Amino acid sequence: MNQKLQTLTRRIAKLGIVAMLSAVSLGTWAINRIQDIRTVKVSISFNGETLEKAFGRLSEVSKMPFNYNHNELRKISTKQLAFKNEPLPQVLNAILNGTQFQYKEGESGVIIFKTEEKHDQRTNSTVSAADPITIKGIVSDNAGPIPGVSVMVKGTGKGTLTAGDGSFSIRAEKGEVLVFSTLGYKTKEITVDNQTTINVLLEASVNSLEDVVVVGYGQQKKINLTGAVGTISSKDIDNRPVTNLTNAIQGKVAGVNITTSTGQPGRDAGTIRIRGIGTGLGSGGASAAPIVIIDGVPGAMGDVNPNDIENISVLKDAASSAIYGARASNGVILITTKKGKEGGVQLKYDMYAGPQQIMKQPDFLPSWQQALLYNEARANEGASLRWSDTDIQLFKDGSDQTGAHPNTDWISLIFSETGWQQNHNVNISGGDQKSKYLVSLGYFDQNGNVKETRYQKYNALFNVNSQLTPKLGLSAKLGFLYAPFSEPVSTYATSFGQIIRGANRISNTVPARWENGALGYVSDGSPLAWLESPSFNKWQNYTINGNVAGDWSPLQGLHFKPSFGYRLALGQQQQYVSDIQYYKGGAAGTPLTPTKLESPNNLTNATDRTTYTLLQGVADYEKNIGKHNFKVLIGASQEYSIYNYFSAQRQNFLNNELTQINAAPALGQSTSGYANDWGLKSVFGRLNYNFNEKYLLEANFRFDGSSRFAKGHRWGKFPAVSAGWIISKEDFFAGALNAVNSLKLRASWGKLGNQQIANNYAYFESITGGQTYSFNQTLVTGLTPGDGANPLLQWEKTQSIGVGIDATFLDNKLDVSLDYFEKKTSNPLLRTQAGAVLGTSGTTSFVPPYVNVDGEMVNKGIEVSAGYKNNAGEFTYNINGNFSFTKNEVTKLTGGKVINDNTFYDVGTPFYSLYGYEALGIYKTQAAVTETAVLNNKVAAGDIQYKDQNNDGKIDAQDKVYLGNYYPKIAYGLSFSSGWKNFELSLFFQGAAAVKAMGGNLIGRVGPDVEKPTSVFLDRWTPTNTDASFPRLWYSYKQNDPTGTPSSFWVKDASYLRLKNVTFAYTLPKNVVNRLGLNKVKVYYSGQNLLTFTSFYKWIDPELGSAGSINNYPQVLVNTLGLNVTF
Amino acid sequence: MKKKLIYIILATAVLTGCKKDVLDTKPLDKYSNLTLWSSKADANAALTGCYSGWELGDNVIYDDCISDNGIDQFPWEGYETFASGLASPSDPGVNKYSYTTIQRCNWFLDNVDKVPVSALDNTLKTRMKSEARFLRAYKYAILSQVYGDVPLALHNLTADQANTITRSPKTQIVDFVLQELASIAPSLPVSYSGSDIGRITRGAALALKARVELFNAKYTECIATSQQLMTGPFSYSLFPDYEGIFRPQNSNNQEVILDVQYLQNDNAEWVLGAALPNSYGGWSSMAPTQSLVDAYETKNGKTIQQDGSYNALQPYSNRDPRLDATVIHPGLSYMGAYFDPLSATSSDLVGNNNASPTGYNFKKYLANIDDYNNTAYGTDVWNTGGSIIVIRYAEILLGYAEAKIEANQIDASVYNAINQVRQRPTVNMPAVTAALYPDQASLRVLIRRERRAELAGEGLRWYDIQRWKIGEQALSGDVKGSLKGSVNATTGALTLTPNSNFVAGNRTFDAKNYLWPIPQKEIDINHALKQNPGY
Repeated sequence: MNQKLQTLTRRIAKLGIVAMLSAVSLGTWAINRIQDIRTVKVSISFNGETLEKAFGRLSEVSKMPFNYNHNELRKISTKQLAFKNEPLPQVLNAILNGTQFQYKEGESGVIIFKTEEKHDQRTNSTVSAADPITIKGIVSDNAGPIPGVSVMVKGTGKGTLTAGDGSFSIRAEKGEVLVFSTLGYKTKEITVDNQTTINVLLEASVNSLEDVVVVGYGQQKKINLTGAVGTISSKDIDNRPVTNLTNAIQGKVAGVNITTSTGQPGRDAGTIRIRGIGTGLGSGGASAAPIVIIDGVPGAMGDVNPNDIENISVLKDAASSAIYGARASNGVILITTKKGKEGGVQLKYDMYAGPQQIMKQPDFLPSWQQALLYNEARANEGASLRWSDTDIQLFKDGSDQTGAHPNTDWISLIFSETGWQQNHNVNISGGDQKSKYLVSLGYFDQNGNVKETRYQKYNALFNVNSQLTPKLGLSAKLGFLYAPFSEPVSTYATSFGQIIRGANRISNTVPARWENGALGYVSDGSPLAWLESPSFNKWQNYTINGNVAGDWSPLQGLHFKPSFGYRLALGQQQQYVSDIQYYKGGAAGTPLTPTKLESPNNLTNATDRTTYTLLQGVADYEKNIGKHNFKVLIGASQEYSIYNYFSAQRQNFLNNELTQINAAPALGQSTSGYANDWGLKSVFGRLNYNFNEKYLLEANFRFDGSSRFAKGHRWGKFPAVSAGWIISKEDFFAGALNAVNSLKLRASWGKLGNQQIANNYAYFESITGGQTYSFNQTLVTGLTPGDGANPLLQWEKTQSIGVGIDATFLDNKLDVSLDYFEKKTSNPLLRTQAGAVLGTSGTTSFVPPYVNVDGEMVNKGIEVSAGYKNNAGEFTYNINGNFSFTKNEVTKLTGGKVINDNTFYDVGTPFYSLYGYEALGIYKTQAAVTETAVLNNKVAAGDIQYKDQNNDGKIDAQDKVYLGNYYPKIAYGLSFSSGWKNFELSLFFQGAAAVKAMGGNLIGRVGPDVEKPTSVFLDRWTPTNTDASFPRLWYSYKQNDPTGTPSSFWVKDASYLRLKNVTFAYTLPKNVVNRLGLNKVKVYYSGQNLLTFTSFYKWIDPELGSAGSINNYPQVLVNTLGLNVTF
Repeated sequence: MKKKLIYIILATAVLTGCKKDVLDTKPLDKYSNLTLWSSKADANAALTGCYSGWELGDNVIYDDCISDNGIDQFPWEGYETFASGLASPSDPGVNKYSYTTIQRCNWFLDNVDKVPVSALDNTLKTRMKSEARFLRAYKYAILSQVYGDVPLALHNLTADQANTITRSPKTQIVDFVLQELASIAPSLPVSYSGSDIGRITRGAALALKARVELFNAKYTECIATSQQLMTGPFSYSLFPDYEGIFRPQNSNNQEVILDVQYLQNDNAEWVLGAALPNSYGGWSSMAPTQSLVDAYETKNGKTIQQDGSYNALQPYSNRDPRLDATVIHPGLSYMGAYFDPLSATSSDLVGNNNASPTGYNFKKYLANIDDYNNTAYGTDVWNTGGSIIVIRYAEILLGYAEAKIEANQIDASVYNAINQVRQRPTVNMPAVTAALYPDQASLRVLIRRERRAELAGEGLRWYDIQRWKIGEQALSGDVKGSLKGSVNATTGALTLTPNSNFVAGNRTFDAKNYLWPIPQKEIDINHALKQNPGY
């Protein structure tokens, strides 16, 4: 440890130098809330009065707040001076020339200070001779009083918070300045004169740089940020019927891309990618997901009740996330939950409820056309026709009395429910100067559109903060989540997905139910039978999050913060699969003769448990010396997590009534259980320096040791530096301030790591058990080689650089941020691609080891976000937009092209691009086929023609080429919100562009009972329709099949624009509300996923693109009515 | 102040540095190769791992669908992709390019010597090694037969080695297989008892050797190897009941030389459900063809073309009894009813969901479905515990006869071997004689027909097509099913329409198809692998 500390100290020093050098060459812009003093011109004359009086008058004339020590300045007189329309700095310089005093611009005006003093504005609380007076008042915004607003006497440590009704009372002297601030509002300062009542109206802030932003292990004023940090406040999430937090942040932050693949209750969490795909995909490589940190403890998005969120910070670049080095290469999402505020008890109740419906459904053809098209495919392939003309007529007119010729709408039969969802939340908070508390209780209930699909969440959150002694503070949090989940399951290949798959694939020609009552079925059974059976899969999930943190401040500016975090996630599964007897169908009265039996019934009980502990110590120290402001942070942490799973199964219950293990015989029972663990140790630190809040510098470092690597390869070093330059504070900029109100330049560089691979023990050569065989009816259990080992495995490295500009215009009404980034991932962790010769084929086969691939991948991109806010009389509005462009490219790959079915990557292509043949069109005639290279000897007129890229006379794997990129290059979000009197309206659009998709799963298929085509098949090639847009029909042939023979013919643009949310709210008038004894009542309508604009197949959610399948449970459209009440 | 800061950092270090090091984790539910190999149990478990999945009943049952014996109506199962001539490297249809068992065996063989002699005596160790060597040789025999030249890996490889290995010539693979089998046979027991039954025997090693010799036209060697199996210490004989050979209660009978052992629930086979007709809840994935039905002789020992008494509209009457034991056909009395794939109201009607596209279903292993319904051999046809036979004595007899014919050593033993098979008590077909089949040419036709009739539905037909080079005839044109018509539900009487056969598909065959394509994904990974000609 000692040696580590030394290294660490050396490292800080080194980083500091690098950072300072960077600061010289790079920079930042910032915004000044208070008018820049260089734009202030005054005409004033002095005639030997005291400086105290002089500044008093100057303050009046310049309309600038001045902060100074009345006692000191009372002793000094001014010279005789006169100024006419001179810039304030020149006036000040002239007045102060020859005195011991200097001025500087503070957050809230001009500060006059004595030069010998090590000036610390906040500690400079010299006693005033004037008599303090008590000032009372109410702080409110347009909608009513605001509790919990900080009211501070500037330059002193004195302060209070507004109570539940917005009222405050504070003692201050005349001439002192009261500062009113709270998150989400512009800070307001009022100089105390003789008034004893000060009522303050706070303006909501949009993207205010005065805001404090949560960053790794602390906070930072937005103005002083040097990294790329996106923020989302509770306002962005409030009153939206989002079922999962991931869906709430979609489209809100530039560079954060979220896709949701299913709308099934409880399984609708989206996939988050920050600034492109930084690493291997899926199980094949290291995780590409960002790390989520909730109140300082790593956790899962799903654990958090969206109502409990105070704010979210997304750390996008290495500079801001390097302090989480080990797991930060894909970005960091910091979630801060709401805390209690000083003031009276505050009680709030929020609710919404409404129905949901399936957003998109495939437009499968009616049964008669399905039959017709299947016959045509059979004919094309020289096989007997399946359906006679009479059959087709019966399908068409529906006159068959037996039920043998139906037009079964399987989707409507399965997605039969209205799907209500509701959410209720009670929030109680309060506190005094010493202790604050918050209790939040939430209930969420979502019923899906398929019977028995349901997800509920019971959330409880307790947050307590207490200042035990002046030097010691303590905060504690306890979060509890109980989330029962249920879904029906199929008997065949037990799963819920199988039911949805069945509905989307079984032909309309298959009867759902015959006239004699027998259920129709196909080889897998019937989704309707599964749904009607007593089968179910239920999970009871419990999550407990707790953390306790201390804050000991033995010295001014020094804080020592030890903390302990714990997370316990427990799941209990009960899955019952019933047996199903099918019967022979027929006309009404036909006896029910048993046919297919799906059996045996069985019950699975499983539990899984994850525990996670975090021990952490952080020390930070802040010191200002003149214009030099320093902050240093140093910390260490240790994390350990273990996962346990156990399951037991029995089968052959006598009937489907009992669903407990003991009710079934022991014969044929089975059990399984396993566990795995991981640990991480870290040392980290950060240095912030700024000069006069004009030149900003930050250096971060982190060392991480991961249990996933062998000794000697464990520890990774992750440094980062960033710098900012607030150009608008420079003298030379003064002339431009009217046009550009603030301007900040940022630049950063950093290195991050990734160790998040699926196998926790990748350096052990493991042996897999449970490989059974039976000799003469006796079971024997065997072992086989399991996972390949790689003891040389080490961190995947990501190096990123970024530059950014923040600027405000139009009287600070418009703010714009622009970022450019380059992220290079090298030696990515991937499972070796290994051929079957290694023993990798089959289900229980050998798994090749992970390797650090000798390759590199770069994500480059631009992010723009802008906000504009204005009002026209009582009509207020703001518009926010964000846009990101990300280009992914593999830049180095030793060993050449890597192909994975219909995707590939190679130097010069994006990671996992679409791969296949280049289609040249459809052969119109048989003559056109001859003399062209073909895929097989069955190719004929009406088939797709492929390009023989290498002109070798045949179409084979050598002719496959790059067909596009399926990860959206462009993602954007646009929100508009407005208020007029008591009404509010907001619209939120979100979209993606420059994205291609190819999928055989998107259009259905022509075939017998387990296939059905969508309308794209109608304009198919036939001898009489040779100008068709679609090839001739196939069933077993491969040449036109989008799955078997992927080609550019099937590649489509999957860009889309979606009206993600509309909220319309009305706040009841105050007098009405007050008569009810309430403080504030708001009613609203909110709709989610309302409209989608796309040129993609209209029945598939374009958000899914290539990952899509007609067999998915689609996303849902939600309409809700809601209510917010403050008591 | 500095002092205090140091105390604080020290406190943090203490807080986070206690207990065991969280970074020293190791697998909690998996053994490590470093600690294994100390006991007999370890070695046994590893050998069991080699047996696990060494062959699948699925292959045996499904593989006739890549031949003229059967057709698989479901394109996604892949068999018809190959059978119809559409196979390509990117989409080979069926894939046997697997080294999983081979590498398990290599792992066992590379490591078993670590087990001390005190824990595992040499005799047993040698036997165990021989079992693993057999399983490896079995896999190489299939690989070389299907793909020709293939990589020869005899030890565990690194990923780099696996991704650069080249194909060894087929002759080298075959020589290796034959040498291995010859070398291990003496150390394998002739038979086992109790819960060792089902392990590899000396007979299995020799039987596989005979098969590989026959497949590779090493007739003299095949004759010799087969003769060994016909004499002591071996006591293989034909099971009298042809249909009964395959019933689960007769698993491990005197005719069985090599089989895949199953146990319901824990090591169960599901494939019989896939074979069964729709009306019994099956999938009819494998459908026998008219070509197979037509291949059976009439009861008179003549082909249907030769026998004037053959009535094309009563095609199943007076036929070799092995037809009724192998194919569920229209009008056959099956499970208490007359099988009816022809009538519009039947759930087995050709074209119906999961009904056979030819009007025929395979019957081997499914003589009586009740064998599997909540018995010692299964909960139902989808969860069965009966063995699936890989090599049986009849194949040896026919292989012997064929080798003798091809070697032109035609003597009484040839007719004797064929007649043993033809005249098993339940088959009782007329004997073949030198008078009827006097020469190599006529005997060749006979033995090929006999082999097809006896072994249909047992996964061997493709290899026969391949080595006899009859793909152009056997695997081209329409795949026909039964004639259309009706079945009388009470009598089973057939009324059929002449020349009205169902057509289940259409096939073309190209000379390149005698070898299967190396899957493109293998070549994509290992650029040193060359594709078979024509693909």
